Amino acid sequence: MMKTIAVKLDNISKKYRITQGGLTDAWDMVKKRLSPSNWGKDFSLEIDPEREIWALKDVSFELNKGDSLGVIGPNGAGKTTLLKILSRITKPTSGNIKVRGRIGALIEVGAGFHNELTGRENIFMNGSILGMTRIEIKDKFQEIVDFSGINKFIDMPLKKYSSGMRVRLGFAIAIHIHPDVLLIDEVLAVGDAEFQAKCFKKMSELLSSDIALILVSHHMAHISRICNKAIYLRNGEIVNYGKVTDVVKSYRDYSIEVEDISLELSSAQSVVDQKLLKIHRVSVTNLFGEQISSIKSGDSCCIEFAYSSSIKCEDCIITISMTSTYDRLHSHYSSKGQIDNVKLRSNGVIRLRIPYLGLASGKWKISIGIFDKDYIKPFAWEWFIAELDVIESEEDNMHGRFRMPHHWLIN
Amino acid sequence: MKTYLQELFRYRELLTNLTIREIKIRYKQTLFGLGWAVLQPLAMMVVFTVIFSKFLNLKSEGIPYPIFSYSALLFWTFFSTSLSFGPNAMIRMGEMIKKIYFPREIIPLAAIFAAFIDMLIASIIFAGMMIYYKISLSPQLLFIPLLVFIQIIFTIGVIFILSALNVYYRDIRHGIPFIVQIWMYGTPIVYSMESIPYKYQHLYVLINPMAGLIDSYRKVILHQSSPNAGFLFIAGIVSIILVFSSYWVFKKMEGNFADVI
Repeated sequence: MMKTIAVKLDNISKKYRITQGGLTDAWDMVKKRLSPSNWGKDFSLEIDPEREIWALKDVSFELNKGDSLGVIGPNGAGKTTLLKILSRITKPTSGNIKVRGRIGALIEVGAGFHNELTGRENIFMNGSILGMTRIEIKDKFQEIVDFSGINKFIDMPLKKYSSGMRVRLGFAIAIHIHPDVLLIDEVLAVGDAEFQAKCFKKMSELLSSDIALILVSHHMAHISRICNKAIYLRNGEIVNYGKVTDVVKSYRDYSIEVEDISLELSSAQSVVDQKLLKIHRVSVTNLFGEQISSIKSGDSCCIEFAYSSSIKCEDCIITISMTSTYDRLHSHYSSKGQIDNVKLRSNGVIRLRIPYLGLASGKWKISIGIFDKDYIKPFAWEWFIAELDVIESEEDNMHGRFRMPHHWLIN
Repeated sequence: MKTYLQELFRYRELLTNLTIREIKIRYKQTLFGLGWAVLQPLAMMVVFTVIFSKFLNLKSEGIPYPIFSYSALLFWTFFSTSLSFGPNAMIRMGEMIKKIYFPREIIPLAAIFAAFIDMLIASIIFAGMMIYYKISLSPQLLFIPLLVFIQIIFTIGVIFILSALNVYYRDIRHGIPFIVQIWMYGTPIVYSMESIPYKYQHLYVLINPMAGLIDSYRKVILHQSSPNAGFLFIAGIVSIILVFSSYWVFKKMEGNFADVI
């Protein structure tokens, strides 16, 4: 079957100009021209680069009916600007955009809601803002109320609603206008788990009924769960566009680099700057003792490293931790309480056997530390000394950061 | 233009809702409520009658001055209220413009329709005055819908351009009350069209179509005669040209409203 295009963007760019507005700008201009140092200069071609921001630069992508696109990227990457352009709130500075059919957009919770009006009145008001007629809204009214689960409050003024109830109502209206393209910006994070599950179910239903979905979120789990494509925006430009797993992975790999890890690294380093105890040759091996760089989640492995010491270390504690490069969750192991009286010689090898690697797919960084018996003074502390790529088994449909050994028992 | 109009039609429900809300907001927490719709032209009529008729002895086409001025004020207030509320509604609805898409022209249109409802209410008083002054009904009254229609077209034309500009330059908001004031004295409301030399009358209507419309209202209501066809033609043509060009400008500027508001 031929897939039909629902959304097509060609080199969309959006420039914002920072202005003080009106006469202040005009006055600045006059001052600049009159100042003696600028006499005789030609201003006609000058554009003040400091006053221009490109919120989006040459963004192009295509979406078919039934596709769902996740938009990810750090704050200020242009994600919301992209949604605003798609929903026609604002026009791009250049480029072409084609959207087939009706757009349903949920960009901000309760945009277009009125506090003084009741839930019922707001459904009619909001429905009409989204371009529905009274009859259409009447048809959908009960469905909207049922979906949002606010039956009891429907005739109360909106100002008495909790923020969760507003989101539920807003989402319920947006999906019931039967959009051809549905845009959702991060709002789902507000609802409770039960409502989120309901929304995901509804979104999957809508996707199978051939709408196109665009979801902006910082929750990679949401994106991976519902989207088949993703774009990764940074500074208004597409860094990566394609299959959701690849794009999410590239974003996770990037996000570790920009965070404040360098700071932690240096402060830890200074504690052990004497380098009396050195850690080297860190490796991960499989069951057969072969060195590996990637491992399937749930397999067994062994982390090993060699040390050389110029001091006597008696009764010390060894720690190994793994840090997710995406959300920096730790999985931490310590010899404390497991082996007493660890004595280190002038050199040797230490191994940590892991019969079941309960980490989910992604890049994990390994840090190793050797501390005194009180766990206060580090002899050596190496952050992110090695990296382990955990891959997910294909048939396995798991989300989250950690994996428990598990079995299904049905009946 | 056709796609603009199709879209506008699709959003007709929103236009209705916003009009109702506009009326509610305007009279919320006021003592007289909808009475203000009547009070405003009525008070003006009293003041004008005292000053212009009693003190200054202004000619009023042989018609009692109160109804002479009210017949103009009724329709003029429709125009001036639209002008005062329409462009400002754009600013008031700024938050919504930033967050949701809908055809933005609905905002000033809702202001015009709300003002229209005001006029309908104020015309109840007018009907009473017609009985009191024994103004007889005539078939010429059937011209009124046409005249009101031209007036609405003209009002839309004026208000679209002011609304679009108001988003960019708030100067408009400060300028409007005083534009309205000057415009009122530039329109035959306190005085009669007859005060203008005949040879300038058509030029006058070309510059200010409201003059031609107000004079026509008086002709059909107070004099039971047909309106000046020349005036109507000029006012109609100007209104149509204005409404299309100003709608076009509005739509061109609309795309950036959300960024600058």
